[in-house]
Amino acid sequence: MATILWVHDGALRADHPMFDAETVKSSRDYKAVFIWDNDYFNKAEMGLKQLVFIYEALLDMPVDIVQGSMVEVLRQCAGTDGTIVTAATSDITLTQMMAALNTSHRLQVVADEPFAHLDKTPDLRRFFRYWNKAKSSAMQHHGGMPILWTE
Amino acid sequence: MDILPKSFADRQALVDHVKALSPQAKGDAASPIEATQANLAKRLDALDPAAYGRSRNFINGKVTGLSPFIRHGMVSLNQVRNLALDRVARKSDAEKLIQELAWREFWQLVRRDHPDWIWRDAEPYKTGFSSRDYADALPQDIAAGQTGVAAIDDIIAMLTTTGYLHNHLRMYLASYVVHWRRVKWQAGARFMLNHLIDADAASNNLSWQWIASTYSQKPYIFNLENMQKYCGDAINTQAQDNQALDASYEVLTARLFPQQREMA
Repeated sequence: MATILWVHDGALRADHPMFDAETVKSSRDYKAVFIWDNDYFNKAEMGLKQLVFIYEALLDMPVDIVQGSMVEVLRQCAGTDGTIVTAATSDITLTQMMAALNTSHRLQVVADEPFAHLDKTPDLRRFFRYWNKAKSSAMQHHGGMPILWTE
Repeated sequence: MDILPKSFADRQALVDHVKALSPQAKGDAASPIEATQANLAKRLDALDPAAYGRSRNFINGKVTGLSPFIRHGMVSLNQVRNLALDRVARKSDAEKLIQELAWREFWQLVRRDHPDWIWRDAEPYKTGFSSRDYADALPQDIAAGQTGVAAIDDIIAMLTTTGYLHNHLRMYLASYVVHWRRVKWQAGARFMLNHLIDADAASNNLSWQWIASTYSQKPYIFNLENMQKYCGDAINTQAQDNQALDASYEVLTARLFPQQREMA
């Protein structure tokens, strides 16, 4: 059973918690891929400068770069019964792809280290309403939370 | 499935490779800012939260230059925040920097909950105009950096050559596009996305909405005096070269938002 670590442009570092996911650690031959998908780049309005920046960042990462459509390449890599692990994002295009992949494969989405803890859904109409709730947590190391993601 | 190369003779060879892979991408040269671990380490070493808090609004202030690295997850907000707290004697000295990190987190949360706001007005304009009064397309002179307003042209040149702008310069440019030229924020946001190395639709587009007043209580405007205070010699702020910007806030408000005044 293949385990595919799908690295996207919002998580270009080797100590992202997705690399520590149990599914990845327990898989001796997991494969990490970044998919160079021009349709995705176009939709995101990315220019040449940003694409060079992304490619350059990938040179330092333990990841293969493959050109193609993200969903198609991932389905091909994962086969019929593989697991795909990736980093959480709020990017709309990526979350739509994740939803599509979730219908055909086991998909594990790993959140990054948290920045601030909020007891309930914050009021997002204005920044300072959010900041007033988040500040006490944000002003502490690790947001004042236990460091679960390194275990 | 071919695996693409990760070794190049030099940086130009890498740039040529990316151009060949993505010939549709706008722009014809790379940013001088390198996405290397060494460059990231240098910026983290230089992180000075207290100096940032005192000088961040100045173009030559002690800003971190970390936004391209944060945008692409090369360093997490948590890691930068922890480092900032380690570098100060009093927590409050790191507050401005951590608050700016929180803006990044905030925009991501807004996009998660309201993905349609990335390209649609979150609220009506508070300028006395409706969205129908704003042009859909970015005028060619802005795209080319030839508006005739020297400071604005310098900012556009900086954007298109380096792929990076200090936040204050982003605000000036966005305000000029939306309020001086009455162009929809979406057109300006797209222009910046095409050129920034830290382009992120959440931070970029929602910040444009904040400037436009479609995600804030009032439009953000500036004047030449403000630019002269914060920009030093970084851009041309000579009065004779920037007449459109050279007025008091009262005069500019009346000039840019005449219908707002009538409504009041």
